[in-house]
Amino acid sequence: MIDAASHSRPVLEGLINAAGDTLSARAFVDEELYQLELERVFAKCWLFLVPAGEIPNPGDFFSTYMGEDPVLVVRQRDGSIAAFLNQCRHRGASLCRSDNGNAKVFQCSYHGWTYDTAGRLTAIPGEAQNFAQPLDRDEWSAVRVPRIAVENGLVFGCFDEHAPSFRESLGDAAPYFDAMFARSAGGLDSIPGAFRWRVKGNWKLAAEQAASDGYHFFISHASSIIAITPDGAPAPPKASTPNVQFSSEFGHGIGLLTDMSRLPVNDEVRTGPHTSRWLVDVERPEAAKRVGALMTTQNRPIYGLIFPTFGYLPSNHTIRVFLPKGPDEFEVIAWSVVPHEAPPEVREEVRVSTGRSFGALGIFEQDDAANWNDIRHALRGYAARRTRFNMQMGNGPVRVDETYPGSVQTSESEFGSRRFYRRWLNLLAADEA
Amino acid sequence: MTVNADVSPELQLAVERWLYDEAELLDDKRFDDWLERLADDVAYLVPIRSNRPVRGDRSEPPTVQSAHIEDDKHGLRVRVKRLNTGLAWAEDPPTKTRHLISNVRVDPGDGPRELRVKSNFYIYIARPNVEHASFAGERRDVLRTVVGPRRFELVRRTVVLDQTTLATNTLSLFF
Repeated sequence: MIDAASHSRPVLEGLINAAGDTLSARAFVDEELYQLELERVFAKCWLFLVPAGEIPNPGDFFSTYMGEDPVLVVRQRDGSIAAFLNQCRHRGASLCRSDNGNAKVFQCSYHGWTYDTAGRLTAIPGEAQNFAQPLDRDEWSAVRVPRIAVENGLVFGCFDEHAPSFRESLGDAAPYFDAMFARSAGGLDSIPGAFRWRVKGNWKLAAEQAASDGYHFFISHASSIIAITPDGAPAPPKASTPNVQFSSEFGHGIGLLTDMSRLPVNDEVRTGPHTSRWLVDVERPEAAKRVGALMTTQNRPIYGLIFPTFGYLPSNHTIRVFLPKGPDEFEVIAWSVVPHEAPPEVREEVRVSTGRSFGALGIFEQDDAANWNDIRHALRGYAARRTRFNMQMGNGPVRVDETYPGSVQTSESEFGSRRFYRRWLNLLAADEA
Repeated sequence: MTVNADVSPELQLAVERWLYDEAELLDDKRFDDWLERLADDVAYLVPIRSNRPVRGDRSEPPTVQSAHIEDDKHGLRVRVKRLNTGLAWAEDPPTKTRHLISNVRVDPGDGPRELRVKSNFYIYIARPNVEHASFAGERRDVLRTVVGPRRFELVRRTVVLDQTTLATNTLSLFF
């Protein structure tokens, strides 16, 4: 049980120092904090569920989690999308054990209570004979996720009926969100086949990295950068290229590459020659017409997090969601994504190269997981848990550069990390409504 | 399944020995030597599997999907090149792996020089700090007979993993 007194605001405040640039290691291991996260982060925020294209037909479902709550996301006959707890209201067994598929109804395998594709209770074995009166369907249907938003083909859900709308929750990240996800009429198609894997580490490490961390790339991924650079080609740079880091007070963070020609590993090597040409000749000019030149032809989004757990690596063509599994483990569900308008040869290059680099067994992905594993290992120790972590890089004044929406830092920085953890702590410390 | 009359005990033994020698190369981290055993047109595939309903599922599985690994020889060379940089931190110190190969089933292949070989595997992986993991599955191989002491080269390997959600991904290994 959570001891309310130990989570009074001052105790939580101590997790981050007054300057907002050091963080207690407790944030990554504490079971009570984790339970508070489930309540105050995961049951309060908009969470990514699934690309809408994964469930195109009525009855198509996808099984995922909001925090640790199992949910079924189901396409309805009218084309809308519903989500509800994957939990029978009778004794709480699963309504469905599959990852995905198509169903007309969901029947609990314990006593046979049956629910329709919107989670509404439709049949109870023996109801007429053995119950004094029919059960109230409104009271005993599966618990609906009350808020669903489908934005540019991405499905988000929120357990908090009183939360602001998804668009409002983006705050000043909205122009960045659109520059990443609304840059073509058809949006992004997910390539069928979700990667699913577990990482022994705390979910915030992956989320924070997606929000803020261009810094690790040249060290963590040194071997992978060298490996995919063709023999005889010029050596890739060993340090950061010029960039801009946007961060929202809501915890969202997006990194932009400001010199389009200096992607550390160019698109031809990273993805393929067709993709490299198509991005320059077609994708960016068309995107510029829709969302402007700033984040299409002038700057390039290279990483992004929509708080708390939806990550995007645009130049690597992958979206992913981090599902917490306790304070020291999380699951990743990732998809390769490609603009709907991409020709077949671009789709094929993306499919193969993204799996090779950032799939579950992708060479870059392995590098990250090993680091997160090690952090967890050290934090088993008493002294290690009492340490504070440094996120002071670029901790000068927050700049407002008129060129870019919202607040940005124009050098390598942990601006996004600082705002990510500040937002996290604000949610944990929020008073009960 | 009966022993195929076209597959002699000698051939069965030769294929088994080839698979065991391959496992030794992988466990000894002799990846460049391992690459030598692969045909230039090798296709190495580790599909994503998912848990789907037994009944009542009317959806069609997609024809083109993401894969955990879908590499030609170039792709496999990239993976080996990464390990050879000395900068693949997850492999410093190297993980210890042990490939156990069993249930070897040899059948004639599509061409006169080809064999279809199925085998089961269990791979134990130990990382520093007593972290360990294991994977089980089936390999569906096509081997091509070649002149010389090596006798066969690997033309195609499809690895059917028995895990859907991978329990770990710090895996710089080949199945």
